[in-house]
Amino acid sequence: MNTNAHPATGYGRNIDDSLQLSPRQLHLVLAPHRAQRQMMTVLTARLALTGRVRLVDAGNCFDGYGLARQLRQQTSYWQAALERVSVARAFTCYQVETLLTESVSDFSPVLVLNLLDTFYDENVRLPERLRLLDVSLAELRRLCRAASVAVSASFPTRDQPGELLEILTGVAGQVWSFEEPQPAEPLRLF
Amino acid sequence: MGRTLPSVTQVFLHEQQSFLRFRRALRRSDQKALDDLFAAAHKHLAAAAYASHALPFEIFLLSMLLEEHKQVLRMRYLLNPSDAAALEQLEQGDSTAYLDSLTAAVEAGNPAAHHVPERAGSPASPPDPGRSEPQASTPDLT
Amino acid sequence: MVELKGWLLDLFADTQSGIVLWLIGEDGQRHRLTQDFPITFYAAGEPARLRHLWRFLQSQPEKVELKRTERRDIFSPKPVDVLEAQVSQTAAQPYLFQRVAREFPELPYYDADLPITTRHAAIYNTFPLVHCQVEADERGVVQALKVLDTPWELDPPPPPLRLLAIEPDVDPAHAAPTALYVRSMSVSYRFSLQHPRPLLINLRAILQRQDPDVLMTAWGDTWLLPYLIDLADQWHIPLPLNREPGREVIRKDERSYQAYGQVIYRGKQVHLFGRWHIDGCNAMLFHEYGLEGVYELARVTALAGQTVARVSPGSGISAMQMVTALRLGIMVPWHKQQAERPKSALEMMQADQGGLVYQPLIGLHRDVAEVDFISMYPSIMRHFNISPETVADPNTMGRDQYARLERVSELGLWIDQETSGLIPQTLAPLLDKRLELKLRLAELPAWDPRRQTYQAQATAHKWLLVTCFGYLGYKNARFGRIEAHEAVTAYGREMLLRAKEAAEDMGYTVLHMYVDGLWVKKKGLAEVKSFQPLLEEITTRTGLPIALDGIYRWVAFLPSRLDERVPVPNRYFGVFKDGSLKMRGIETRRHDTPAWVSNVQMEIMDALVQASNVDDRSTYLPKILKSLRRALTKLRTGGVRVEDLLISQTLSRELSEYRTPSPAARAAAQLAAVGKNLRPGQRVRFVYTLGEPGVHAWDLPQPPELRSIDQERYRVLLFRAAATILQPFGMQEQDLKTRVIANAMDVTFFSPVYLKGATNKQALKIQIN
Repeated sequence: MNTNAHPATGYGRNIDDSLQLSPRQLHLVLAPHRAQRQMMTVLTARLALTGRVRLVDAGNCFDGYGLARQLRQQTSYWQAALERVSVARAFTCYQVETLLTESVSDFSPVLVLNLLDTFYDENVRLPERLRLLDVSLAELRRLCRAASVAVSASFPTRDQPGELLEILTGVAGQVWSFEEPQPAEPLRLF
Repeated sequence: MGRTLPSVTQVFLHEQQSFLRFRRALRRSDQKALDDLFAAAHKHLAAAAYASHALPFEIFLLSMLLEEHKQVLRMRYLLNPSDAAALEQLEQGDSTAYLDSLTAAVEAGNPAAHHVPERAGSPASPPDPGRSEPQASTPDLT
Repeated sequence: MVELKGWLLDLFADTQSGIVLWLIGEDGQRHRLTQDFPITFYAAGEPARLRHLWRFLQSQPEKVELKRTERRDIFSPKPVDVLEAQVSQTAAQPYLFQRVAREFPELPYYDADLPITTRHAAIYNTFPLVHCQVEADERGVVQALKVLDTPWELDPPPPPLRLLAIEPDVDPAHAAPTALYVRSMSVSYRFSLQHPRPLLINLRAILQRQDPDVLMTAWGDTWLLPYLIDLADQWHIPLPLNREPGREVIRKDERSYQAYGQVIYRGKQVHLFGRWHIDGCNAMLFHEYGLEGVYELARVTALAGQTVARVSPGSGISAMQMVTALRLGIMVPWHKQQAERPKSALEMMQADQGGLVYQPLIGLHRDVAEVDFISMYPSIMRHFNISPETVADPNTMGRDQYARLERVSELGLWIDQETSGLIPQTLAPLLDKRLELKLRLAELPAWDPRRQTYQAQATAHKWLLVTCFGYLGYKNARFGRIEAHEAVTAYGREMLLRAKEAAEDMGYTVLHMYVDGLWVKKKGLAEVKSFQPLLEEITTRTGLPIALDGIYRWVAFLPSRLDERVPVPNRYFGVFKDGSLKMRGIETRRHDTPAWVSNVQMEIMDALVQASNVDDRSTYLPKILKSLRRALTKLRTGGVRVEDLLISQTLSRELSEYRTPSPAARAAAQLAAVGKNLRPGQRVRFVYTLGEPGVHAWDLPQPPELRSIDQERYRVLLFRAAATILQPFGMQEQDLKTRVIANAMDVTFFSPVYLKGATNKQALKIQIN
């Protein structure tokens, strides 16, 4: 398993270049929410230039307009590219499991946005959430066999159980981890 | 309840904010004019939402232009007032009567201006100046 | 064999087997009956797992009949292979199912956790307060049951319910109560809480003698009943709160949860057996429709009265859908499994929208008609047959099916028109009854006593209908489906635009549009009948019913508080021809406005309504200035009660989660310091005070002192509220302040000539001495 830790500074071209997807690998992008969203949008845009992309929005964070702007900057056929991106949203952890189970094994890459978000919902008992996560990850491994798969997630907050992320990192083949930069010491002039 | 994409108001505010650096570097008086443009675009958010354009800023620009044009019409009219009722409607935001009178005035003065380009095979005939042309659908500027 | 006729009051699982029914007999007695009521649930999934489940169920102590069969799942085109389990002992089913779900968590289950009243309704067409005829044997076991009315009748003979009301003399959150008031239709008592023994003995006697069907309380859920139950325990004088012998009351804990984008707080609850306990302070929307509304909701949703009074309208709609589904032989899923079908990013941008919300033409307008679609979204669901199972993707259907489909404007969605959907079937009788009720209300004279009942029922219906659309898109709704939700909004936008086009084609100016309504005007039109042709044209073009809400003498659309050029869709006020007011988004309508400010704002509105000529300031301005001066003087001289200065705000999160505490949070912190902990979703009441922390919570043991009130903050609120109303009439806030504070001059000294049309000119700058 490869883990690259980067500071989450200046989202954009630098980061994008390093997010190269290898076939048959489950990639994990671990970053704070906004950075995660931005990076996955850039990644989606890059992939959509050359083929179909399947998005599973598991955190209600699909940035449609951001994606359109990205594509517009990169190609004049941005509308066609936009049409190659398909999105399905899951609002509960049950729906995440259903969506992944129903996804067909084909060659177009699969990006799952903010996979763990719905699994932090306390209204569902933890054992049940763990079971659903296991099934979802198994389905992702299945999809990996034919397509490139990338999943994004953020670090749990204090109240959220850390084991969900541990399970996910355990299964991921390639992990890119972006931490919040620590606030720098203010420069003193005197 | 399943709303994923930001509302048109949020998108608009986001666009407005992305111009903050540009705005800051403008002179104070120019800043006010820029704000006017954005306030103008704000009037047509519902139509922008309905348009569902993937690049909403293009629609906002068009809205700004729309309001600018209405100002031009108003001023052109004020320079040449001839119908008190139409003016009152203009003030209320309804430009229909004014535009009707505009096109009528144009036809009366210059029949060639409304000459419809002939299709292949149909007999060419200049439009009858005495008869009003069927209107192209009058854009309602409410 | 006994034959009984009466009204069904309560229905619940018996401890031993079957269910208990409490009937209010036509003979005046209350009858306790029992009935055999086996519960069936289903499991689907892989055949191997189902075989294991079969063996597991057979090994359980409860008596279960098992069968393999096929049943309909609304999200599957073909029937699903299921294991059917029929549990003969009603009360045992939930426990059995819990064990099953723990052992086999991955299987889809159906009909597993439904309310008993819902199941009963599906089989026997019963509902709370239904008039029915029952045949029972000598042990009181029901042999046959026949219903004699339906929830959809307008004037069913009302059941002779016996009511008893109990309330403490003061809000327990605010101060410790010292007495209880107990009232029925015939008697009324006051008991001191200092003497528990006589209190309990008397209360017990009253409960036994009055034997109420409905126990109405204030704070009964959160304080009164728990207090009385504890007291009864301490003194060993049990209170017969339940009519059903040998049972404890049901207690439920308080909770805060996220729903519909907000934090909602649900207080503790106490439910009784054999009678209804309704707590007016903890009942959902009780101030909107009262007890009559609760009755109507129970009838229409088939949920028990005590349940329906406390749950959100969403649960009511869900229950209605379940009854329809069961009757149609459609299984009710235990968990919402179904997920969205993938769409292209472009389709997502088109589909993920709400209703059309326009920006109005700012300012004052005369003779404006407000035209609204009647229950637009539910009507759309019914008219266009939108339901989770009717939304189809033509790519998955054979070409021969295409004729059945109707395309939803620009979305890549098609609606099957052939089979009537679950949702339209559920909504149809409700929509019909609502319409009938509206017609009746329009005809009834103002003094008719039935008005109040009809009004309450209409309000209850309104809440159900308003919720059913949101519920369609709700992530946990069992029969929810986001595509159906999006189809409804797409139709909504289309129909509103067609209405706009109809109006414009007929020469109207459209001043404003908001999701399901338009404000239009046309020169020379001011009578109700003149707008009839427009209404007909709209209905012709859209297929949906539309009505004239009213004609405004004048209506003012307000700009944004931050920028006067920017219109705001939901802030306006106006007077209808009949003199009634309508306002949205302004201070009087907001919870966080103190009564002192709302009252003045209403006085100002009144002055405008009474003004003979709204163009001439002298007909209203003097009165308004007087109101403002009077209010300010009262504030300055301590003549305003602290209660009228209360601000009420909701706590949006836990105290610890605030980075910079809002005034509400600071007030809640004060309460927490004296042991009164508030949960997110609860309201905090406080006044603004001088110095730090700037607030004083209302429910503190020490009431706030008038001297410590931050008068300046309240003055700011008052002027803002006044300016809101007067701004469309050409008066700016600063101008208003100047006039009010200048105590020397009375404005009427100036001739009306100066007052008329002083819009932008500062011509009348009164000098402050």
